[in-house]
Amino acid sequence: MYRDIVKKTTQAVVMISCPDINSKGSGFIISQDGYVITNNHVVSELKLHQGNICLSYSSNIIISINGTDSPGRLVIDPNGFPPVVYDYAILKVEGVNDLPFLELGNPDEVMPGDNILCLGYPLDFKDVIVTDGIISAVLRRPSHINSLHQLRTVVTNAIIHFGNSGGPMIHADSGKVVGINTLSHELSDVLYNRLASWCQHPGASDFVLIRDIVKYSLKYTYVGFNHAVSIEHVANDAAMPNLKGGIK
Amino acid sequence: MSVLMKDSYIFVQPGQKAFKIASNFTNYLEIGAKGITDFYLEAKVENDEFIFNAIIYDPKSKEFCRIINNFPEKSEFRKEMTLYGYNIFSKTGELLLGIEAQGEICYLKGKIYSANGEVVAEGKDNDYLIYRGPATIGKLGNSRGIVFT
Repeated sequence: MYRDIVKKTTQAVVMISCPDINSKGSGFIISQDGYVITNNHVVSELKLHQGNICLSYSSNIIISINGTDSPGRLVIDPNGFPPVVYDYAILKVEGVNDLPFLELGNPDEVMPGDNILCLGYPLDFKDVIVTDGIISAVLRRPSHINSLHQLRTVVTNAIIHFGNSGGPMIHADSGKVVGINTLSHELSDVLYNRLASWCQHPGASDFVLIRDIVKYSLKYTYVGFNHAVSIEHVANDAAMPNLKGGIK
Repeated sequence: MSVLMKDSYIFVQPGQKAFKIASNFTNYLEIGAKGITDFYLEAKVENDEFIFNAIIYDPKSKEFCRIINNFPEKSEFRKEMTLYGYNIFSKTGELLLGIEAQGEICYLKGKIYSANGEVVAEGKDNDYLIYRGPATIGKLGNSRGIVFT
């Protein structure tokens, strides 16, 4: 039923691993020259630093494109763009110019009842796994890290697991990306047990931002982890105790 | 590269009762694991009240004291009421756990020690810093917020 779309899109879905923070997830290529979107929580971890909570980014991001590993760079200038409230990040693979990529759709046109596909590398699979479902709801809910901010969210019955994070949700009609696989509630709430997966649903303006970042190669692209709040930079990463945490 | 996470509201909204923990606001804090670690602190909001349960350790007298629903089990650990909360002192007069509610925000003071005398968490400058886990910051139903193992 979705054979053509799956065939077209799987080539642009990547596996992301960060061995230094023991993290693994998925992502998708959005430009021929190697821009990749994933979840921020795939490329970062939480630590305690001098009593405070610290978001620490991986310094060893490996992006696996069709089985070939390439180093990835977090496209970020913390002194530039004000952070926004979504859990996504933009990465770049250098030295490439002919990669297959996914088109970003118009999230505002997504409606409950639409068919969608979730793609990614869940669990320990080395191949792209495709699940399908419908959009169960499009809503706003408090961010999973900062309740002060509401996230546009798509709820779907398509199953996603650990490792799907950062992969694309694709509209089954257009073949374009309409969300980013983010959370699964199967462990946390009986009501949602194996029923609901949460996919971030960036607004059209966010996709415009992403397109601009890619088009103009903007240097400042901090767009992750839901804190539209004040942040400070920690001067000395080396002093960080090895106490790791995460969003559960 | 790392950034500090500050001023996030973890499972709580502005205007709701919250604890200030590690520069963020939350509805729940648990430090230590019940029956496993030799230190324990649980701070929660129940029936619109700030409730604390803890096992606090005084490294000088080498004595433990359980705090159950804001009350110390042993009278040697003195509880002193203040205008906006209370303080619990060790035998030697050290502040081990202090609570101060300013509006809807509850600030924690004092020091939580492990049995080997290590400071696990402490109140500093109207903030409460956590130095080691396990710790959970924020809880809603079965969902936990930020978890350090």
